[in-house]
Amino acid sequence: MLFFSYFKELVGKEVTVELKNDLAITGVLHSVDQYLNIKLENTKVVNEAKYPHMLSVKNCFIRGSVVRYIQLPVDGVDVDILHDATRREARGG
Amino acid sequence: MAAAEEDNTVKEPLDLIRLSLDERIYVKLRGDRELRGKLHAYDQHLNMVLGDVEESVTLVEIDDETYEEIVRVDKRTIPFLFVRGDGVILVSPPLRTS
Amino acid sequence: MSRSGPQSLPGTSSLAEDLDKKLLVVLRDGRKIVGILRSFDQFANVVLEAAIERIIVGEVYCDIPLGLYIIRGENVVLIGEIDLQKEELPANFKRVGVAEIREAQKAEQDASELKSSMMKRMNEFLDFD
Repeated sequence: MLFFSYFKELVGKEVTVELKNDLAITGVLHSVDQYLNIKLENTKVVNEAKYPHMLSVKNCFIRGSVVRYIQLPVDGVDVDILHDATRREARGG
Repeated sequence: MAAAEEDNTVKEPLDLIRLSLDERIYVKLRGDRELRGKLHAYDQHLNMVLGDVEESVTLVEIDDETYEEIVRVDKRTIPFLFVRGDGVILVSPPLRTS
Repeated sequence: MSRSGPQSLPGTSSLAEDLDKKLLVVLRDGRKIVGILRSFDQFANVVLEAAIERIIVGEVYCDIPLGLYIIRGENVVLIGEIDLQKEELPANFKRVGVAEIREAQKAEQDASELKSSMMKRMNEFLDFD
């Protein structure tokens, strides 16, 4: 549940989600669930010319399983808190 | 269990990753991708958050005229990155280089 | 289940908000399906009404009617809400018929196959040498 909790803290921040099919979308994190499915608002496709079908899409749901990376805001969460939460998770899981 | 005792025991593979927290690690991913960065968080799926990441992508391109294979490595840096665990092939603990 | 709040359903980060809206579903094989979301579950299995497949090749496209579609969640890449105020495709894109789009698709596929077969032959030639 570590990353589920972590992403919940980032709701409202801008992230860039890079998918396994190379599509990259920047948007404001709207919601996340325990599978790490995410919803983005006010989205913009990074390489728009290659993906004309995404032109009118401004809000989208991304299935967690197709995510490769999520580029995060640097000021999102204190890294010390992240380290502690990871150690707690390692102990519990 | 006392925290000091538990911190140094290695009973299972993921304990080695725990010892790499806040250290720079090397991660090999599917799709000829490699990452080097500081490990800030991970879970049992090997989902991770890395800081000051350098990503290298190895591409094989074909010359349009000679059909020769050209191997190219694209590099980029990302300040703060979540990596989904299902793409991870291997994790190597603290780098001696970099 | 579908009318309850987003928090009541485990998983599927609030697709409830998108019910009865016109959506674009991108599948893992690259296909693009447009339709009205009528139902979903925690796996992101979705039911689309009045679905069409939108095939785009270069700057031509074609919408092929599919009817009522149930899409298995594991094949879903993303589900995008279509902003009805915006153009769905760039203005210079030209709508063509089914036969024409199939031909364009085939030409595109043949071109990429030619490249990979030439590459394979070249590699065999170099190995032999």
